[in-house]
Amino acid sequence: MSTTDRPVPAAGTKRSRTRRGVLDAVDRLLAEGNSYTELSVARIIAESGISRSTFYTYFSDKGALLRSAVDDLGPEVNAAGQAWQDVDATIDRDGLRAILGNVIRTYQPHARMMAEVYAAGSHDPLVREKVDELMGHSIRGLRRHIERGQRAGFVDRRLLPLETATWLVWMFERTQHQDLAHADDAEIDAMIDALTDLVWDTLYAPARR
Amino acid sequence: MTSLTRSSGVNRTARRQEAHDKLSTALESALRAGTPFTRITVDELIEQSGVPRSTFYLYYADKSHLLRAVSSGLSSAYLEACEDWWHLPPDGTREDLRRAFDRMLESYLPHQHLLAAVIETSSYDHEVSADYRSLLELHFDEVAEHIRRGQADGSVAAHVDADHAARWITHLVERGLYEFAADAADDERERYLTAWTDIVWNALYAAAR
Repeated sequence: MSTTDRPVPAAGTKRSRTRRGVLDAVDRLLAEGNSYTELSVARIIAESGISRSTFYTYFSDKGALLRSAVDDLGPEVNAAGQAWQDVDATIDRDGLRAILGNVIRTYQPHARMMAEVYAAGSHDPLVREKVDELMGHSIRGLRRHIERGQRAGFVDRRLLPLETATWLVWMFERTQHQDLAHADDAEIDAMIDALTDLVWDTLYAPARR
Repeated sequence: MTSLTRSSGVNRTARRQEAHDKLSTALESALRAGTPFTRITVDELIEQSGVPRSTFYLYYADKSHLLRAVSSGLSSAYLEACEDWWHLPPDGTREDLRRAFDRMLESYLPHQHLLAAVIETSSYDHEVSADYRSLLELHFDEVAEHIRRGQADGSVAAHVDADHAARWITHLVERGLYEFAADAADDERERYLTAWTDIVWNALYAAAR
């Protein structure tokens, strides 16, 4: 964790509302088709309706704003992902679909912002650190799930837990940012169905044959 | 080269190819040395390659244009390396699939820095992004076709949704190569290759065999 990050204010406080307001403003600007690199701080504060000095009270620069978005979203996504990690031998395809669908739907409203976070990670080391934390958390969680499922006999024993988890978590990341961020509802449903098949067939089905 | 043949079309093509090759080598070595694409200047490329400035600007509007030209050649080579997978015979084995993926990885490795620059630049350069999108679209289509052919001959599970599965699997491959498989040490890379094979094998073929 970077020492330059300010602590996230408790939800509901004025500070937190102001901060959230700026992130929402950026969400709107991205939804209009602007790219984050092209957005000026002036444009962001105009959309947020706050002063320049207030903006800089919360965010030292545009990179700090992206890190702040990760701090907001991380716990929410991790909580949705936890339901997958807790899956046991009683899981069936419908149950898996509900869990994966919830992960995708939770992430969806933030997908454009998060796509910018991941893109910025390629040149901003502090942002990259946040990305690595988030991905590390998901990969470790899925790895533990695979290992536990292999011991209990409901996950294909042949799979390498760490490497399989790494491929799958990065697949989520890329598909969510490149495809789902711009997809309509019907397309998202079809993608969730296809993902459910892929995960079911990869992890669970071979252990039932 | 004699002045008699200088104006022939063949030599113009050869000169253009020579400039392209020298500039492409200069660009790849700068990227390999760790210089981010945004910091590489046309001046440096001219100096490193020995290609005269006037020649550079005869063929390329700017360095993004050069990046697009170089990557388009590499993309064709990479797509060719995908053929063993996309034309995996109906009786192809897990080992055959692993060899096909190994060939894709081997084709990606020498140019990983250039391809990474394309991915990173595509987050803010519209033309690079359009090129990259069309490469991905081509990949989606080829994978979807491969799945449909396999379903017709019984080698791919009938329940797989070809178009949507193709999107997830294409992103799995693209992100894995970019994020971790290319940078991995040898033994680690073998493990990633195994996990990649097992995921795609389970997701597409295992249930049909």
